[in-house]
Amino acid sequence: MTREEIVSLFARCQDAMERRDAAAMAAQHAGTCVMESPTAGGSVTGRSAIAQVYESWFRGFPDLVATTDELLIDGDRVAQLWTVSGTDTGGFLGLPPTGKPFKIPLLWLCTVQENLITHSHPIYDFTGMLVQIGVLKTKRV
Amino acid sequence: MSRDEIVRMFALRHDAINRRDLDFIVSQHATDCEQISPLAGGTVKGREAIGKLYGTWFKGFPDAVWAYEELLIDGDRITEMTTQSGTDTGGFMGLPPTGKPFRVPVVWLFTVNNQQFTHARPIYDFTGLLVQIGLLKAKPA
Repeated sequence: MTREEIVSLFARCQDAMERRDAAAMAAQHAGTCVMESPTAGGSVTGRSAIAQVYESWFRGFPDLVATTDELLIDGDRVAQLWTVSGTDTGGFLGLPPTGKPFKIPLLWLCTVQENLITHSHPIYDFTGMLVQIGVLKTKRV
Repeated sequence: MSRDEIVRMFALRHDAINRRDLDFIVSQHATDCEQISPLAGGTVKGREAIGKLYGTWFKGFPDAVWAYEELLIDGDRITEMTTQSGTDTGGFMGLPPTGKPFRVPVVWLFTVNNQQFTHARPIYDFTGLLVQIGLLKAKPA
């Protein structure tokens, strides 16, 4: 893929995120794409499973805002820095809504091929996010 | 900087990390380098402050191992994907050692100029690490 094609692919992802459209987001991934996701508790494969991951975010945080800060491209590998924020008014991971907000930086590492994402690995403070929204409680030991 | 120069710079960095050579690690940072660090709870600036962060890590986890994936290089910006593991036998962040191990993916985002890092940002599940080594106890709210 050319740099321009990759930039276009990630612009489509950004657009899908802004519309909170899980199906449109999943459509940017290959049918065999593997996503390493803390939300899913490990790796998931395929558009349907990936759509479910995005759906759990959009359902849990109906006001979700994901802004992109940087896009790095090296051959078929891409890194994108996001700032993600929202409020747990919809219930995250099937739990009752807590009404609490979160804001986290997230680095999204991807491999791309033929205008699709073939591997996806978002890295962020997942545990810290669960603490921010009040799903997890922590105390110093 | 050329790609070869950047790759060479990171090879030297990895050697220094393996040797726990704090002087060399910080010498690769510009004197006004900023590092956004969960460990610092925000942004630190300058070699001394950045050296303290590496020192905290190596003191807490004397057996720390950094496993590296291929660098992603886009001009003057780089991501260094690592899996970091270790055991809290030295006492992390000045707290008593817990003796517990951890393993987390950590992605670093760097900007380089003239053979030096001018900006550094590690992103990882810092809260999850604190839970793994037993400094924080987490339970469903």
